[in-house]
Amino acid sequence: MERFLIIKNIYKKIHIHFLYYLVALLAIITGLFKDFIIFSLLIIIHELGHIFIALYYRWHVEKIIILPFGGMTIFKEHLNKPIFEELMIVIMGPAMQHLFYLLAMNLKPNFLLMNYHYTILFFNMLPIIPLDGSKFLNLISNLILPFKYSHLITIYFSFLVLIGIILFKINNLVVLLILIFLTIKVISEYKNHKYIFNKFLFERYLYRFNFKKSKVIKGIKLALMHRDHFHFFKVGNSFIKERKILEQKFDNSNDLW
Amino acid sequence: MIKGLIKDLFSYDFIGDKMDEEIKLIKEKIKQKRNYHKPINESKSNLTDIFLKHVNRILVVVLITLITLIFLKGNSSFWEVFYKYVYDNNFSFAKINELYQKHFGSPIPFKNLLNDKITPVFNEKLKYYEVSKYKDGARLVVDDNYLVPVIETGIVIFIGDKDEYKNTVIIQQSDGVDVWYSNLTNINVKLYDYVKEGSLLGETIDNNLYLVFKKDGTILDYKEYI
Repeated sequence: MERFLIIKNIYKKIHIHFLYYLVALLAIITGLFKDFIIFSLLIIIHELGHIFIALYYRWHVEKIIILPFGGMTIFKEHLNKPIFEELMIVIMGPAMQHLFYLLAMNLKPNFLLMNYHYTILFFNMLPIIPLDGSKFLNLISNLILPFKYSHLITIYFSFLVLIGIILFKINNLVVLLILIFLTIKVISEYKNHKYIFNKFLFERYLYRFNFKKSKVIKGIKLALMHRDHFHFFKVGNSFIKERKILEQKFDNSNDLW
Repeated sequence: MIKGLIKDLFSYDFIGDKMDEEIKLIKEKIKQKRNYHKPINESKSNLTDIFLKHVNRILVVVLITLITLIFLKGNSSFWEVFYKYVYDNNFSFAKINELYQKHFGSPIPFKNLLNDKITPVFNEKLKYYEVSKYKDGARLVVDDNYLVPVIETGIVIFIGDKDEYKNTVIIQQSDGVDVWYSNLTNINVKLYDYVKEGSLLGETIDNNLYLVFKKDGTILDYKEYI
């Protein structure tokens, strides 16, 4: 019963974007009903893949936005959640879509399904910020690099790939609108960078996370803090706990940034 | 104002703005707490709201149908116009599709990016021995169980039985002409498929194929098209 209520709540969280309405309208007046139904079905199944695994890990889903290149599932969660959980959530979307595709193709081969499946999958794997590819890139770089730098790397990669795509000659209205949407998303992410990094630190100050691994950082450099680790800062010959530094930062300062 | 527009259209979110909103909300809450002794207007229960909404919709539909029926009974010229545009004319999907694709590319992103290797290849032209007039259109004499190709690219808008022509497929072409292909079995296409010129449509039952060419309900001369 509880699970049923969660699913009902998720239904209320679905928002349909105006670009999707535009594509729907265009599909109806040009008579591409079948294309549109297959396209939407693939997008919804992709999103369900993310959502089911998120429910399994008990992540809080805030909003699901349906767009004409795929969906966007927005979580209201800590930035310090385990990398493995987020990785599973990112991977299960494309995995579920591919599973559905294999089943459907076994039953009845269809060119439209094949075309849309592979193109949606490829597009969502591009490292541009709201897409799955960027999340994947961010998580992989988080394994090696500090949180701040991996976030910046994801943003720079997004800019590079976007510029690369724009250099192609695009003569499609809908694709152009999608690219504008993505550009604005990347810019807003760039502007939010310092707030996101601050959130990362502030969560560690507010809550006690149980990380299993630890790291030593020379000097008090908060920018070098890793995800999934707790830290000791080495000043001279003494080690200072991460918590003390954060308490100093947030207790004594009037302005948080 | 422009910032607000961009925010609405592209769901652009900036955390600084979000914080301002939250501060506003908190201020409102504080105001409400100060005025807690004032009575609050209770809204209607949710169920009656939903019920009333549906009743309203049904009433509007009934009203529109009654008005059209009254006009149809009273006014004969209106009846003719209504009949022409509702029953004879088709919405020209193929025409709009061609126009749109010419200027703005395909309306659904990523359409036809891959090569089609699944649907079997069939690229033929219509071959026949004899043409004669048959009812509104033409009767072509072809081989027994002839595999019928599509004459021109278009969208399938009807598949079914037309009394005098037997089993029929209607294809709406981008020039606005509806072509009826009749006397078919083993039909290879489905409703609202876009079919390309020369692709397989179906098989004739015997050695007759009936074709009818129509545009906006008026019958065209078949000699111009075959």
